[in-house]
Amino acid sequence: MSVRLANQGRLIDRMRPLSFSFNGQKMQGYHGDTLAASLLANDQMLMGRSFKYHRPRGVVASGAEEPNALMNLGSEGHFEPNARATTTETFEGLLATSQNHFPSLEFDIGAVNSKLARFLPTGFYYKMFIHPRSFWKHIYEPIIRKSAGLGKAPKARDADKYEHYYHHCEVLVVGGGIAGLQAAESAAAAGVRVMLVEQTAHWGGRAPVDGVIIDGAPADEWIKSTIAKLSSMTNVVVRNRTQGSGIYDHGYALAYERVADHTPRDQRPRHRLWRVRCKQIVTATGAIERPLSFARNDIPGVMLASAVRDYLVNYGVSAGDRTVVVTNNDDAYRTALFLKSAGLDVPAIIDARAEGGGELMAQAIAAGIRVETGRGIAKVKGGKRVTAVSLCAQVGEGSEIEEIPCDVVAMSGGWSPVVHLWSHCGGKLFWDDAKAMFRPDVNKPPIGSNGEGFVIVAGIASGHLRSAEVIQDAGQAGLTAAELVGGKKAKDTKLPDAQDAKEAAMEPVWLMPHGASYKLRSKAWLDFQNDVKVSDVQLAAQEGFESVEHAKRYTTLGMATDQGKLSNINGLATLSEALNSDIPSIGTTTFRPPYTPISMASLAGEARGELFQPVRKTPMHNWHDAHGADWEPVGGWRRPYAYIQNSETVDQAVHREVINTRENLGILDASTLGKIIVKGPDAGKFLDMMYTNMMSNLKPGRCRYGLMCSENGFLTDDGVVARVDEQTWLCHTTSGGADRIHTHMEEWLQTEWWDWKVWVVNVTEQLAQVAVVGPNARKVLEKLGGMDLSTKTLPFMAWADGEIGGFSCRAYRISFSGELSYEIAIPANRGLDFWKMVVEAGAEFGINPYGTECLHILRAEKGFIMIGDETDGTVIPQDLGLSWAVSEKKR
Amino acid sequence: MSDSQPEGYVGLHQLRGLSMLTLRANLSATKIKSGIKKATGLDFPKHGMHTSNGAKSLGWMSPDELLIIVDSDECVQTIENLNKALVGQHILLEDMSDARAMFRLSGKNIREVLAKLVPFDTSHSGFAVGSLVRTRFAQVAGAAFMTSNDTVELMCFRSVQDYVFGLLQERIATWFRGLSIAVSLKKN
Repeated sequence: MSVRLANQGRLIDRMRPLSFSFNGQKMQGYHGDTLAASLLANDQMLMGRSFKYHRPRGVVASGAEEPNALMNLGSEGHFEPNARATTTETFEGLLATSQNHFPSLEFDIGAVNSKLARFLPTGFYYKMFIHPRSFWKHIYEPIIRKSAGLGKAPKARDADKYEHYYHHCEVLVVGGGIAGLQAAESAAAAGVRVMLVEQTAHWGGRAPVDGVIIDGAPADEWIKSTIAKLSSMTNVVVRNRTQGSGIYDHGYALAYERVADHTPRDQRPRHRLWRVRCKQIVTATGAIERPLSFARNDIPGVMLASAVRDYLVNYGVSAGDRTVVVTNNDDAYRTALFLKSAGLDVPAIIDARAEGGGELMAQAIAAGIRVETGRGIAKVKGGKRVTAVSLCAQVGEGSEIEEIPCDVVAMSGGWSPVVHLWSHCGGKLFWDDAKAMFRPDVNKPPIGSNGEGFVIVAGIASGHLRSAEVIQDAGQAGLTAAELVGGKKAKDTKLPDAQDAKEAAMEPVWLMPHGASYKLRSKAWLDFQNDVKVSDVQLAAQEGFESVEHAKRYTTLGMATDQGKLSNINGLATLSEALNSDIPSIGTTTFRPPYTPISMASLAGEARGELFQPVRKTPMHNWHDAHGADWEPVGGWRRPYAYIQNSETVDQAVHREVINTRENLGILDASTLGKIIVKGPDAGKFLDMMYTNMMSNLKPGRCRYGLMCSENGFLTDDGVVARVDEQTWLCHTTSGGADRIHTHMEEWLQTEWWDWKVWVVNVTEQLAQVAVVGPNARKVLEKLGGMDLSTKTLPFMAWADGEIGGFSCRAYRISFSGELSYEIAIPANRGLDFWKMVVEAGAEFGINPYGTECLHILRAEKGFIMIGDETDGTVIPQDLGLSWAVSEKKR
Repeated sequence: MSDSQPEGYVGLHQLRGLSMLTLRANLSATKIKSGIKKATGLDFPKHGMHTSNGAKSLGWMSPDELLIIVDSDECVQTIENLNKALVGQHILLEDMSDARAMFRLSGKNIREVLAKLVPFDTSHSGFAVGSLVRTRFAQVAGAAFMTSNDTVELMCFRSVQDYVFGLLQERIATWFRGLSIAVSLKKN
């Protein structure tokens, strides 16, 4: 049984009990618990089912690396699948359900896959589902799709808010353990702006759990005073619950803050995505303990030794009364010693090393713990819970020597530095044979734009396992980072003195026992979440998948939501042994951001609902909306496709608008048309280059239709050009083309004809433009009065400045419909008033607004082209019979 | 923290009655600079800055673009003065008053509100009083003028003013560092 102990638990507040629900059952926990700790305290060791074989699984780790304890959290608008119980803080009212089982966690039909495991080896899917061909689409895929996936997809709209925060600083320190704290302090002392992020709610990392002494006192004290000092400095930003998730080029990093996961519905945004721009990044990301590969190492109750220690020290939770520790290094002895001193039973420490360990082993023996050196575990007994382990010789093939009854197996295969962030931007690794780990190669860091490294690794993440080394390394990393970004030299560089037990060397153990039979190997799990075993990787190697990237994809090793945090190194080692090669020549798979899955919503930030996409609105937008507009997106704008009256269909509305405009009077909001002013002594010459026809010989007061081609000669835009005065032209572009054509003009002026005297301004948004179209067009405008619009003064393709109905305007006598038509430009802020005035005055002439579809019919009936309809980027003017608009004179 | 806590407030107001003129010209030419100074009575702004006398301001937009902001009733006069002072020079002066919308954020926490919207450095060192940055507000282009330690003015295109207003509202109405930032809205 796993239970809450009467004392211990440095992170929980026993004065603040809380209740939560797991699979509908009410349970009790304490403030400060993780969900995994709360569940263990309620004897809920079984937390999920594996992906492929649906095997019962318990929690194995205590942090971000957890592969098994994945939960559905919350309900409806607050539902989230695949949340790690180990990184979820328990709060009052939390709702959790386990995943990937039917009908229940205890009894799962899918577990039959486990019985069929012999017939479902690696590559089974590739070999099986290829014949007959038609079966894939109609039978296999639908079935697999249905059974695949871990958590459920949310059905309701996310009820929470999310935000981005752009942060600028000189040094970003990732990781709030003692290394991160020291690095941040050293960098901050140099006066530069520092940001320190820690993914958990607590500072100090493992040091307080492992009993590290700093400056003569337990590490906790130094951690508290250091974080207090950093928090009070104006040049430092510290954020806990914030994971450094990804490092990108140019000193860009993403940090993922879980602001209110533990305090839902408190009005704060749930997640905040920090988009950090900095000059140097210190990764003090610590290390992850490796499991050991022995038979049935996935039975609930088999846990990482560090996790067993964490639950005990941090949450006062015992994973079981009797814990067998199995290890290849000294660190796991700490777990045995802590358990023993908490009054719990440790039947044995099984040390695979023939010689055993150092100082800590001596302490264990002194504490009366049985230590078996040169031994391993042949097999774990039990089904949904560990009941015993059988002892064997590590060097042998697994003959059982003795059975040791126990409830928990605390395993440790050594530690792997978290090199993910170092590697995101190309930092290189090297294999340290003595420590049996990949370590960052500090001579080959990720390179920034200046050709120098911009990431510095510190502490355990760099492979320094002893606390004194960690502090020294981290202090130096902080100083170096600050110095590289121009910080001043700090006067007081004395670093604190850290102490921990001396450790004997670890000995790599990639398979336990070393000569394990096929039967044992096919039950020795590497990747818990995706059900990849030692035998699967060996089979992949045998079938020719020699590249680590191929073997990964063939076996799915490391492809689950935990991205192989536990399985990676063991898998590589297994592959290298199967290929008779060494680990460094196998290499690692690629580490890509984010470090753990982050919410899609945090990436979207505010871009959802009303703010999903900006909608450009013309001055008359709301009028259209109030008058039945059926909207169509055009170049970021919304334009009315048609105005629906009463109960008519869209199609009926369009036809009504066409007939009314042809027979009476139509009004169109043409404000979205691009309008670009081109001015200067060389403007005419410039426009002759821009358009296929001549614009330099256009007379002031006149308009001309023009075509624009890309440098490949394909049509790219068209519109009416008006000459304003001797040096000034106004170019109309298509609605979607305004920004593009403005940029096109600027590009030519800035890069090719930089010596030409031409200025360009995009005035699209300054002007509202109203097209008054149809046989009655002149009548309504003359009724409003103010300027002479007769054919004599304002003939076709002419324009004039004047006044209509009291509005200063520019009137163009142009037509895109073949009807009598005027386009009136007024300052945008007066657009709506002008529009309303014309609509009112036009009532007696049968005025009706028309939309884009009517516009298309009107122009198509007259044979006018539309860029994007008759053109697709491969059409030249001659294809459309527009040779007349291609000037021959300019040759 | 309650909403009534005054130091947490950030005010959001849309500004009306301003005229904006865009001047394209070679801003490194002495004649141009002195002409502008003469026509507006304001110091010529440095790169990335704006100068102001309260009612009027000059904003450095690019090496060849200047933004002139005046009260609406001074617009015609200002255009006249500029045309006079820069006569014979190769310039393009356009009235862009209707093309844009202006918002003012006020309060102690404006830098933090801004940091949720714009990718540039909004700290005192990165965005000092007097700065003018052309940037983006989430998905749309805009410019930000730091007018005093607790006011910033934001400019965007008129067509997306509803989007920017919604954006500002949402960003102001969230918490930061335990401070409940409430919004006092005024859109006229």
